[in-house]
Amino acid sequence: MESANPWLSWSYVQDNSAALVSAGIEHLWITVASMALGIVMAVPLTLLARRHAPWAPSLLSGSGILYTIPSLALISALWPLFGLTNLTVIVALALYALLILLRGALLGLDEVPADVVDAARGMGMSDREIMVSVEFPLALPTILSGLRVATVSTVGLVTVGALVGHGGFGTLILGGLNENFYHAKIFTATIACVALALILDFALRALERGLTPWAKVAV
Amino acid sequence: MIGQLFAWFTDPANWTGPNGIPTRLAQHLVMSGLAMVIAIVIAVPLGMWLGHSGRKPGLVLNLGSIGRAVPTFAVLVILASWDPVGVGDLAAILALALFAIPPILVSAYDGIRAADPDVVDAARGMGFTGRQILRQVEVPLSVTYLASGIRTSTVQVVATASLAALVGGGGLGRYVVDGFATQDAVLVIAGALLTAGLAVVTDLVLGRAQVLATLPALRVRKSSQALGIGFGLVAVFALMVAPSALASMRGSSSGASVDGPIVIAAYSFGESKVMAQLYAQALQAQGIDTQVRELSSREVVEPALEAGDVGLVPEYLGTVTEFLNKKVNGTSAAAVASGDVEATSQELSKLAGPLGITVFTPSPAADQNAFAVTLAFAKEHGFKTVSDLSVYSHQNPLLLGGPPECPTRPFCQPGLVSVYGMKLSSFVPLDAGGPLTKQSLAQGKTDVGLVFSSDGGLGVQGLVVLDDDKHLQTADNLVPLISSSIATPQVRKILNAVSAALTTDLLVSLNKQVDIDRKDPAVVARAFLVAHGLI
Repeated sequence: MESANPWLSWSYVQDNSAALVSAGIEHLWITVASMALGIVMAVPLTLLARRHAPWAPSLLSGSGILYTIPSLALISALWPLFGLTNLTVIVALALYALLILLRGALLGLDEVPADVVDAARGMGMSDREIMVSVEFPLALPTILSGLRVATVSTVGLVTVGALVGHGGFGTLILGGLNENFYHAKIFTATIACVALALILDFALRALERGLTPWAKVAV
Repeated sequence: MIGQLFAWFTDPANWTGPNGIPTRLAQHLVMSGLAMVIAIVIAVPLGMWLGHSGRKPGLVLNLGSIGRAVPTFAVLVILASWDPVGVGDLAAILALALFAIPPILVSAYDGIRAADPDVVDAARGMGFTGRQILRQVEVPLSVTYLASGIRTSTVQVVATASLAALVGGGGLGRYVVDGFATQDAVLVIAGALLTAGLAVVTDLVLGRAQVLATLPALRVRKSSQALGIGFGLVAVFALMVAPSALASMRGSSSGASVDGPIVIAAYSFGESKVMAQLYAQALQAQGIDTQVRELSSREVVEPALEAGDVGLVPEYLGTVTEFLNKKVNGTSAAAVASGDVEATSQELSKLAGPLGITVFTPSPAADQNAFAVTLAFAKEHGFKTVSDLSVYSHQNPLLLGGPPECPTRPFCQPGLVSVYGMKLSSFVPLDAGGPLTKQSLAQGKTDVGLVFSSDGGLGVQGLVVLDDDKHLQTADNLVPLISSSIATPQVRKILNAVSAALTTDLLVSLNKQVDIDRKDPAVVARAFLVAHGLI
């Protein structure tokens, strides 16, 4: 007889709380590390694009094309280099996050009114001072909403890391598929993953409001 | 690498048949197209209506952000494991449609909301009804927004449709998944380039359509994007090719680290997970730290074992012996594995030793690869053996289902053809004796499938194993393969004790507990080790 295979099972959660917690920790760690690496790469590229303004549109449409590489393929391609470490997943996701971050930063900086920059220059501020104390704060709402969108989509993409054994909740989802369609395992891990994304979304919204009280938080 | 890619793209064999580029491309387009049609039919009217009525703005915006938070991969797996949908293209089409609905809904809503309130007021003042305002004023004005939303979503759907291959679907993702399973970097990169190329072409075509759909007064001349596209394509190419090139320069490392935990690989099916847990917990009980990682195929695990990324893996004696034999001595090397466990084990040690891999004593427990059909099909034609099926296949070529690496494995497709003379119409890449293969058989999507003889769930799904009367399958006893750098006498003693305690009957019962009763492999393994005094 085939046993019952419910989608929701509290006993699954109880019996596997340790596995769920360790998947959650891995999921969060990969997300945070990918975002950190993405930010580290985005800053110099943003400055480069600002310095060489004519390059900016090409940089943006070019990075849009990078976004069309399937996550599955990027992870597979990085596998020979980083092997069975979570770096394979982190580097891939950092590249996707980079694209969203770059777009947000360039859009935000473009929206800074030219008058304000002129005024700052008239006051004798250097390029660096203008960037740090005028352009960056004014662009911050757009930059932060880019960060939020990138974070939420990274949480979802981490699941694909299951392909190389580092997918956080994704490893449970793929494992459930391979364990003769273990519904409770698949569904619990999915809900946990969505919850993690929504919690981070909420936290980053709160951060946006805290850092830029003058701006209306965009969706 | 670039030469190999060029050779792949110019090989006529890759342009014909069920796994040829035209077929895979068509599948990819059909899946993406149907998903977009479903998404547009649902999301556009709903979004426009919500926008026109001005109701529930919070709902729409939240739907947009919740939609982003739900991983498409998870939705795909849920749909594939839900009986009314099942594995294959349908699951992918529905998952992609669900993926595309929120952004299209939001853009339809935004489009209507963006229609200038003054214009709407003017229309109302002219005596337009609500319906007329929607159709003649708001909709044309909102098309700009909508067209851009649909364009972005379509490009994302085309890129994401690759995931379908993970649940037995077709499309260009097949090349990536099959290439990864067989560690064929050329295939992975070719698949990625085709998908990215298709997405770029889709974007350009829709970009053109978007200009046409925009009211002439609202059209914006964009600067030439050619430079950006060229830059992007070069970057895609570099990103895909560089890692394997760099990795081949780096050379292989020297076995697993002796300091860290022993990384135990488990293949993605219940039995392998239980075996990995048996090893892990028996070692842990003696104070040796371990870590279990689930991986997809032997082609992925074996190089990782050589490189030391994986320290230990539960293997199948005959299968892994032939795998290494073909790898070391070439694909046309004569078979060295046989039904003799002792002799095969010695051959395996000879092959594995120089690769830095040590072979411990095989367990009496065995799990052969086997070919299964549905009970109904077997009864109807009186099939008892694979030879019976082979005779039938001469008039009625059969559809074979199995793991993506099956077409290159001697015990799988090549063996059926050369040893049994079976006629196969085609091969459907699914999984290694897992739920995809079994469900596909049970639903009649394939005729014959590769399964495991110790599978506790075949009977439940109405499947029956045919007798391997020409002995295509070799002695597949479970045997631990371990990186030589960590193969200490203590580890050897612990693992040999586990192997000795296990029999085929016990193995079948462990499998049943995991696959049918859905117990956690770790829990099942612990109970076994305790019952046999191993921990």
